[in-house]
Amino acid sequence: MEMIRRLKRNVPEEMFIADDRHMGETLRHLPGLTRQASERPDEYWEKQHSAIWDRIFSAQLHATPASPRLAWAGIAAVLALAMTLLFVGSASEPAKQVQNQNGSDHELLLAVERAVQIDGPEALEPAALLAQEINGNNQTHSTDKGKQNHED
Amino acid sequence: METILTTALTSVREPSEVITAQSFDQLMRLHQRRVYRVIFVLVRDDDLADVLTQECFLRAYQKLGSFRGDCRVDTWLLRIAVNLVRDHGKSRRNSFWKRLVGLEEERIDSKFTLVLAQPSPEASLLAREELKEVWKALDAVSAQQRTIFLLRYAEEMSLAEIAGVLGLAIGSVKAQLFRATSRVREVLRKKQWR
Repeated sequence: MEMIRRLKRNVPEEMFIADDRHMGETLRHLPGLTRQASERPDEYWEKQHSAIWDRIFSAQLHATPASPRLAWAGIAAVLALAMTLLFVGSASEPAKQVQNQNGSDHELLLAVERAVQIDGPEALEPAALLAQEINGNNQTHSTDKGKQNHED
Repeated sequence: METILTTALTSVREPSEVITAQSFDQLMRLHQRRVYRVIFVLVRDDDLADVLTQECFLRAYQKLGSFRGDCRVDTWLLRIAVNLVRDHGKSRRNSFWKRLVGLEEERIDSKFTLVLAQPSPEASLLAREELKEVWKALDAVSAQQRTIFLLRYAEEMSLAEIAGVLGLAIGSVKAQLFRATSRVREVLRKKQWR
């Protein structure tokens, strides 16, 4: 197979030369024809010449809207901003969550206490007692703290 | 004798030297017509040849840094041009031959009529007929063989030059040219033209 491929590729020199010469002779008009067919007035070449430079300048302008340094600086700035936002956001979020949780617990207890004091059903009595107890503890803690503060 | 051509060629052959806008302008002026002609003979369309010539020099300017001077500037430019034609041919594979043989036949004929106004009317007619048949016969060969054929017989380039432009070995150029000429001759013989 490889041998056939090589034979096909390697055209005998004499055969090629004769063939090439014959075809060249047959097509002797072709070079002249193509030259004359592609001839253009001087204005055409000047116009094309200007058009090429226009395209070169235009391409340069579009290829570099900002210098590479500026582009990198922009990317770095955006990254830095994103990182800052990410860290600040993640750091402040748990604290906020704890605050919110404490606040909501206290409000819930107060709401339960109020509901029980008004006229709660018997089923809520254990909850009311629990609420009173927790409230009582909180109050004693706060009074203790207040005493301590006064002592300080 | 120092000519503009040799100055320009040596200035671009040295990769270490910076090619200024002025030297590129010189190169453009030197090779613009030939690049256009080669593209024109391959695509057979004025407007397209103009667009691709512009594109060729734009690419050459953008690739100046990658030109290592291992071949002549005109070879390098023609390589870009032929690649552009090939890329264009991929997207509009049949348009060239449609234009050549079909729709724009009159347009091509008028060009050749103008060209052949100098020789006798009989010779002119014969040459035109020969060419038309050859163009039609080239439809039977591959795009690369057609390019090689036209570079050889329309642009009268040597096998080494063609090999340089197409980035092929001379042996491969020779084999493909031989196949193309055989095919063209076969088609012409069938038509009892010669």
